[in-house]
Amino acid sequence: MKHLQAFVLSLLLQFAACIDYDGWMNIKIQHSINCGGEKYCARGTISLQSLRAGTPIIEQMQFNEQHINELNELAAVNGFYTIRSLVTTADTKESEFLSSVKAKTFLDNGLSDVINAWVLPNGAVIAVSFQVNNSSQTRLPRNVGSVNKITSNFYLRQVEPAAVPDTASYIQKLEREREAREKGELKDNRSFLAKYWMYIVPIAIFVMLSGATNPETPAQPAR
Amino acid sequence: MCIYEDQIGKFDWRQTYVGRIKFSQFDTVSTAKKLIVATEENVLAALHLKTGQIVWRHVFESASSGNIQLLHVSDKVVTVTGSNPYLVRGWDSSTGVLIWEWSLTLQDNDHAEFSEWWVQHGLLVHMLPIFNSHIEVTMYNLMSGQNRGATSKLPAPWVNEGCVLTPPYYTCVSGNMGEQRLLTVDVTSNAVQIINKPLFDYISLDVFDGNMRPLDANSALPGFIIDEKKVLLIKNNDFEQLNIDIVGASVSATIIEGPSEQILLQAWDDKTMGFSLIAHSVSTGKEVPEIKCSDRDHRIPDPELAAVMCTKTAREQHACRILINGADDAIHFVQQAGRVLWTREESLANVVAVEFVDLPVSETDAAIESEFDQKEGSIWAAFTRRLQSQFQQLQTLLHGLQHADRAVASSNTNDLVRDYFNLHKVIVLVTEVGKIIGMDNLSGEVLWRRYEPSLSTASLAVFTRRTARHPPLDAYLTIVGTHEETGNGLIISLNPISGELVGERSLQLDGRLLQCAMLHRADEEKLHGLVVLYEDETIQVFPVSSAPLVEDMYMYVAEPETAYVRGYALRYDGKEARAQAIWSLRLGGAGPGSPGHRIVHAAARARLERTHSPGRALADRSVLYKYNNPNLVLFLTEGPDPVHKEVVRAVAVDVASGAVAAAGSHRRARAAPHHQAVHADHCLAYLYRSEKHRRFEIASMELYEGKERWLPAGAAFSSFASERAPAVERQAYIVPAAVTAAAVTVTERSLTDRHVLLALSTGAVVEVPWAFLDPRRPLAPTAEQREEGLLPYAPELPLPADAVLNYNRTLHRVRALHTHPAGIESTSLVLATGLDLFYTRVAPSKTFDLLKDDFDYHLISIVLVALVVASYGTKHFASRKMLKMAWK
Repeated sequence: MKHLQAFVLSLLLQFAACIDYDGWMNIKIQHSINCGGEKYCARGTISLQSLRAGTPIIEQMQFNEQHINELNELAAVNGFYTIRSLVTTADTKESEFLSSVKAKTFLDNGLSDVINAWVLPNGAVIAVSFQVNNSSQTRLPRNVGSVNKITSNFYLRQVEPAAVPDTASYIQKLEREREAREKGELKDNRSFLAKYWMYIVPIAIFVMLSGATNPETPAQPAR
Repeated sequence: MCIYEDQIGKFDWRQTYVGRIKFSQFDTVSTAKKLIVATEENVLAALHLKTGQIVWRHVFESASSGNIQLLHVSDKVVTVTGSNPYLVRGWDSSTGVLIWEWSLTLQDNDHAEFSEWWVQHGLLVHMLPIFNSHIEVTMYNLMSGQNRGATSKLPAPWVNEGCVLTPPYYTCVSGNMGEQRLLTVDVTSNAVQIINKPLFDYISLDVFDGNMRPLDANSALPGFIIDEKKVLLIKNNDFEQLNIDIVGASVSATIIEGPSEQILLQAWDDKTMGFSLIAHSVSTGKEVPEIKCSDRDHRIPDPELAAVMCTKTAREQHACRILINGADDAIHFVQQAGRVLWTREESLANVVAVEFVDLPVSETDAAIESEFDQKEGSIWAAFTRRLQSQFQQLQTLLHGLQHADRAVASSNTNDLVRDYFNLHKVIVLVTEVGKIIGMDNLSGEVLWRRYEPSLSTASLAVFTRRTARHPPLDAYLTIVGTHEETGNGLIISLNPISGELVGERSLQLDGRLLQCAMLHRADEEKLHGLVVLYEDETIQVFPVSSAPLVEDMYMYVAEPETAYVRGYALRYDGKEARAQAIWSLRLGGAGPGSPGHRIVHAAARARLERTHSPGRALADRSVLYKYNNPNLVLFLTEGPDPVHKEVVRAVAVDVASGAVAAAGSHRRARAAPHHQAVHADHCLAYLYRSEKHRRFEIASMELYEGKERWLPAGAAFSSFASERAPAVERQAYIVPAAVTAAAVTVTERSLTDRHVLLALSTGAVVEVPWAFLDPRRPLAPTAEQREEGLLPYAPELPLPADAVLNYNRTLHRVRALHTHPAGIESTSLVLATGLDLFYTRVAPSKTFDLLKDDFDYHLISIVLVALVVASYGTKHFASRKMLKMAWK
């Protein structure tokens, strides 16, 4: 089995600051097709030198004819292609995660999938999930018979600290408003019409009404 | 939101409960006779003798500090509550006002739980048996707590766990097997006199298993039942054996002070004869003929005599009032002849599951519907059917007109048919003791009850497998729980309208259950199959014929303690349905130096919720599309953390594919004590306690796809064909109150605004519009955001008094809020359960599809008539004027 590196995506660097802890992480990927009797056999590995940097090195095998055939069999019964991930980090023992994708969608997408690993601030992993894109979108050309490359996009996602009630900025806002009021009137940047419409409209109506009645009075003594 | 004074009780009701009775006594001193009860729910209450309604009630702390240890009723009601320290309190029996109070702390904390209390000659006696050693007795002045002399210690090496107290006597069986002795001491007398007799003077030699229990219901004479056969009384420093036989093993017996003599009263539930009662004179051993009953139709499981009072009527007859406490937590107040004066369903103080069930349509409506169902037949057949049904309708109309007044009277009480707006439902409540109760939602009246002693309600699911919408088929409801003794699954299927068992009836399964679900496709009989997943990952489908319908079924199993969640795909492979494990998560996340979390709550969408709006219109006329994943479940976990002490995490998981959609962690926070997370549509909200600020906070999340749709309009969402993560909007707000339960309103088509209902510890249920919890509330709104209708951000959630649903009717210890859609879009039905039950209906966007109930029909018809008259009148006058003009 040759190995081939896959796409490397290191998003979420902006969240790296919120992680309390840094260390390496290693994910062994196993799947359940063409294992020759075993329940699971190796598909590849993902290793990260640093959780904070989040740059993965992905090594995955190529699928051969046998793999594709088994996937096709699964796809025929609308079955699942199940992947087991064994995660080891600097401080934790190996923990197992299962994830599945529909075999048919996986094939339709040209063996490309998305791997999301969710990491807690303390470095523990809570989920490794594999997902396949909607097949109506970009379909990579598949070269039948020869090399079948698995394309995986790996995202390391942090469980961020959730929002807290933002009292400080609210108080600041109130403070600012109070200051503005103390300084004098709030600067009114509305247009002239917006400011004085309540005076203009009655005057306009009054003018219109008086204008409408006036011309008739001279017309009266015609007979 | 709030209602007018004249609307009180129009569409809401409250029922107050006290819980399972622990102690009860008649208050015979005050002028209005009452029953004073103290309960397992730490409630002290006075019940009206005639109606059984609560006269006054005090709800103590639900923790052990509120446990009631003693109830003593003389001219004042005296209680001892707590568990070291104890509070001794005196209450006025007619009003329930606290008169005096003093506290008491025992030095010996280890043995304090074995304390016994009683009142004797105006002194509070506290007895503490130290097993195999001695008895400590202390007496206090009841009113002031002054200690009368020091604690006296009685040497008693014969004291053991099996001893019984029949104040002031403390009785034990001691000694080796075969030569046991019966020992009794009056612990309050100054001179210690121990009565010591061989046990086998009283019972036969070979059979004694140490079974000894005191007489129930504040027996007039100190006595106990030994070996479920004999009653021994303690009289004149000796045991006296009553020559009256005890009827059976589970009999409740007591001695009462009758008007002329002392009477031994026995009550039991006979298998064939039903509830039975018998009485004997203590002195003569003769049966008292008036006090006797056996009622075949009245069944009380394991009846226990709670309180008895007997007087003599003018004709020298016994008149007794007996309070019976059943194993199903119901209390019955019966007369000497067995006539039930009133019954209180106290199990409703502990409701664990609630299901709203639609009622069947009336017969005439069903006939109309069946007319449209029949597709076959010629035009003439259809025409004659139409004529027939119209004739039928005419007949019923005429009939209705003839008996108009009678029809009104009967339809109010027992006509269980669907009304026009589908506001009338049956509420099925499952209570902690295993009692299943059907209740009319409009009146709160109990329609049927069924006691299932083998149903353990620790984990429970209720499914409406067939609604009443398919006449002539009846509605079908299934309760899945566990068996009390074996721990295996237990399925109870019943007709929710009548309460009769149907289908699987009461079925004990062969294994322990992991999960259960209802199939989304119904079979030909419109019955949704029930799927159960056993611990060995095999599945079973009820009925078996529904197995081929298992398709695209997904289940998840969450272990609360380890926070290990796994998902299964269920499919039918041509022979049988199988489960395949397809994903697993470890939400506990045990990391270096921190133990894992446990799952506190999992909040899924309401089963009935259907979302009909795909997005939210923004001010610039573009649409923000919602991430509308029906498989999303919010998991709340809680656990310790080495850096931030306690952490609450919220993880939103797609439970079909196992993908995590959003996650967040709250530092220095604890999860709220009850299940307090709501999930509807694309909105999630959950409560937690911020330990840093010592307050409750509510966090809200909204999930969006963005400004462009991921899927074309109308396409169904699939968990297995989406790799994109939704955008998450988050915000948190301070809740200026302690929240005990939360729910979100549900309407028929989810077009109405969404309101979050919060039950507070103050006894109020507050309605908060989702707009206040909206995570997109900006701090300084721009003109565009203002146009969109976003409120400016304020960190504190307003809880105005006019948003209180239950106005001034305080609800104690609300444990859950249940919502259900009504037939009209504007309205959602709400039931609050806890110590009390409260039902009402809410209209989050006002009743836009309903006329107000004070709508003035008379005025509008008078105006209409007047207008018509006026127009004809003016026409007439106009023509006359025209005529006159023409003559000019």
